Amino acid sequence: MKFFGMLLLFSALAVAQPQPSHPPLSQRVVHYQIDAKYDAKAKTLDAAEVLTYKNLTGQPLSSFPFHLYLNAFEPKATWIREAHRQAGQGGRAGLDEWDAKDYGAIDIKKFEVAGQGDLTSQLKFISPDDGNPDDKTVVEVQLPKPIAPGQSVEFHIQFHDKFPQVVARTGHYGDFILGGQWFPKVGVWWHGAWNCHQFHADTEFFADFGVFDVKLTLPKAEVVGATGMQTASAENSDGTKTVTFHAEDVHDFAWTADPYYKVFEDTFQGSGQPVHIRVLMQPANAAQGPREIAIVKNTMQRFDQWYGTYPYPQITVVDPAALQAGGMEYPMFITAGTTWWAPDSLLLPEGVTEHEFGHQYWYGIVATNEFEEAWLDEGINSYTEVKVLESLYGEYRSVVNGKHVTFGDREEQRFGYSQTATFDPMTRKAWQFAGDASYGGVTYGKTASVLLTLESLIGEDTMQHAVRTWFQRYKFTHPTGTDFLKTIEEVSGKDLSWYFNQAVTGTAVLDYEISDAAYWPSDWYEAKRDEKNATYHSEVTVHRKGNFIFPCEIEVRFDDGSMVREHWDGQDRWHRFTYDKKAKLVSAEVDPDHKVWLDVDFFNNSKLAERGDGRARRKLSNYWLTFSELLSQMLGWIS
Amino acid sequence: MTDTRNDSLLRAGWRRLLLAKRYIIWLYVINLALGLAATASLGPRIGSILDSSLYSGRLVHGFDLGVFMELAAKPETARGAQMPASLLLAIAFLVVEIFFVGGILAEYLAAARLERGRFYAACGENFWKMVRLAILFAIAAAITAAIFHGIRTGLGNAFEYSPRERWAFAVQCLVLFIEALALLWVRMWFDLAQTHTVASGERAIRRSARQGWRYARAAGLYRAYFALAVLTVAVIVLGSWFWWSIAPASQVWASFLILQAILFCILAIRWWQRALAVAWWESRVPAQEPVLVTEPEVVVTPPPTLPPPEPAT
Ligand SMILES: [Zn+2]
Repeated sequence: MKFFGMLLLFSALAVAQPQPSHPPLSQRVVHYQIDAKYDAKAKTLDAAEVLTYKNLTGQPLSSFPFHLYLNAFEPKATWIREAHRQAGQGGRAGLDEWDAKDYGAIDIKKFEVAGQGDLTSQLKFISPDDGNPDDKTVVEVQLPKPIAPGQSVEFHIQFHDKFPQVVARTGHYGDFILGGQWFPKVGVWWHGAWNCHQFHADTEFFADFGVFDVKLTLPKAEVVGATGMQTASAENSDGTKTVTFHAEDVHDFAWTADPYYKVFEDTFQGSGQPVHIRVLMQPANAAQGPREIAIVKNTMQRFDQWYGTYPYPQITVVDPAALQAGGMEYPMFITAGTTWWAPDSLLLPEGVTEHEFGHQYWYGIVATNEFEEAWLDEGINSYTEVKVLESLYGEYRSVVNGKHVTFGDREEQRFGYSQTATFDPMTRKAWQFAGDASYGGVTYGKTASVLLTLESLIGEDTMQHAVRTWFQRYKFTHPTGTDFLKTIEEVSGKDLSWYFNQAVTGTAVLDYEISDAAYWPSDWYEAKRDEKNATYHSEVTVHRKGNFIFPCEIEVRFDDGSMVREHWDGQDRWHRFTYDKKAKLVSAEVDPDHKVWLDVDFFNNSKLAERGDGRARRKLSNYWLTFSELLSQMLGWIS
Repeated sequence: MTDTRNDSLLRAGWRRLLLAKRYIIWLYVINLALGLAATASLGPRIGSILDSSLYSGRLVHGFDLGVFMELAAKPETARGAQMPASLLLAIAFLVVEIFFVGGILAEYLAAARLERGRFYAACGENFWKMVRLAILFAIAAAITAAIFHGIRTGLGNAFEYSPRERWAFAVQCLVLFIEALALLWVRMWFDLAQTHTVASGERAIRRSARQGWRYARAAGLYRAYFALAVLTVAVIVLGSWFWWSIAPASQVWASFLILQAILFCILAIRWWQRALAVAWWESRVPAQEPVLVTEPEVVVTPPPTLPPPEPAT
């Protein structure tokens, strides 16, 4: 008994680090108190949730919608329907065949409203996005008595979760569990109406800020990580323990448990309070722990310096047992994506962790609506990802940093976009994209390319200042795309509507080419020429192949080493530059400083007046030749 | 003790390989020519994009994956556009090798240079038998691979949720290694069956395969086969390392020569293995099967006037 008591005291001392109380950073609309018991064998959870909702809408509220995200994993749900469609398109959520292990659900056992009684029988599933009668990811309740402005209401909800095997970044895999989107979460009153969308294969989340107090009871051996700070841990007599977490000014709560986690810890000191970094690694990947710590600290340093202070006391990084659970963001809590064999020159683990940490600022703190304007989160985050990774590894080496082979993050973003340039504008609602490839290519790749190209119009420093202003001005406020574009115009002092209309709200494709680059002797008609004093007539034609109008620079080079920079406004479809010089034209290149990352074809941006030495062609042909011969010899093994 | 026996077997094989080197060189030249044919249409197609663009420089000095992906995504180079040609010509090379097996084994068995007419007669005479043996080999190899695939899938399922990922990977590697050893043995078995066919003039392929199976219970020969398999892997690993670290990325010719040297070596080593099978067969079989092989030369070098026994034409 004594020993047990000491153990309790010790563990309480070790983990009790209550957050220093400070004035609220956000308008705290919600306060969730959840007491949950996780059954690690059955992969189920039973919980009692008390949600205190403060009506700050300025009007009485009589209906409340709630997200029940886990119901997305039922065969007839919209999420599964869309994931099945994606399977045919090769999408990320692609679900070819139904498998019982994919099944997940959340069941509300009891729904009471303080002072208004048991309203369980009043709950009604609604499908505001697609009218699917079988989708149960949004439930609505009508209150007999409306909640007056400024008043609070208390919901008492008992629910039961059945977690799927890891899918869409939630669920179990062996002994590992990631508890994401696991509790009934109220919608957001936004721009005069409830905003509570169904769960779609390509949508993420949107919720109000507040406070979370969560008690998790699970087997003693589990190593636990979650949003917020652990404030207590007590062992129970039945072989379980109850771990308590407290989080402020966040809009979601996720947790993970795995008995095999190896824990790595460090501290980041930026412009604010010290931030405790907690990394939970799979045992097989433990050697990658220091790598994760390093990229988290480097990323935090860049964000702190460029955009602002990280306001929370902790960040938890989880290396999940299944890659499908990797690469996901929750407040103060991210999942990484690594493997034990990842070589140092392959920067994918760094890319994932940087990306997910970046979400802390955009999804977590600025907290835009990911259902309706996903580009404000994933897109701006992809742009800052490029900037951070490039500052760490170099412009063309931030994904693959090999001695001979290289690949840059901005190249990856642009490539994703260029494959799906014509389907959807960035401003499309996430579930209304033509397909998963278009959603990804446009939301991530195009937004990053649009903002990188914008640097050429307003300057890199101004762009950084604009993003900083966006963060500082709108943190904890749910701003919109219009707010973002206005911020850029305000900070740059430029009217950029001509650019935003084409790039952000439009689908115009930017493709400039040097369609012609040629020269000939000025006196070409003479039978005999004085080669020494000959002059040459050179012509360069720039062609706007796409319908995106963009002013451009052209660099023209001559064989005497001279060079001319031209400017063209791009209004017409083509323009010709002519030169009469004693030198021959060598090459012409549009966008010679490689600043226009929206251009979907970089090969046609330049032209040599005389065909080049063909080394790239021969090099690739040589590789294919080797492959073909090897293929022959392998097949020849049958002989 | 075992090593010296191995050594002598390797040396005996090597002597036969040298004897037939002109045919090995021929096979390599055909391998190269078919490879060039498979690649021929690629040059003009990518040349129209690469040759007059400054952007292609990023593929010459170093290798920018982003540039390569952009090139590969273009309709002109649509994914897999080059693959049918390479596959077709790889099949052509397989046919060529099957054709040469009879002749080269005959020369190995003769342990002397055959005159050209005799060589090609042996090629033609054995061609259809070798085709049938190749089909049998493909079936045996496929069954072996399927069994191991089943084992690997089973292990994969057993380890699916295990946190000991590296251990599971090591076990998978071990199973793959055992699979490679098994496939090497199947190859040796059919090399012996081919040797038996050419040496004895055996017409029934099933009997040859059965004989090959009997002879293939030979640890010494298998050790020598294994040694050459290790040599093949070493040539590929060291050659690739040499190519990767020594040849400047922009030097296409240096890269070409190193890669071709690797390809030539692995082709030659494969034929060295067959030479081992012949050397071993000659050293063992006369004692076991005196009736069949008292005068192997007579069997393998039939008078050129004999009509081909199979419709090889
Ligand atoms: Zn993201």
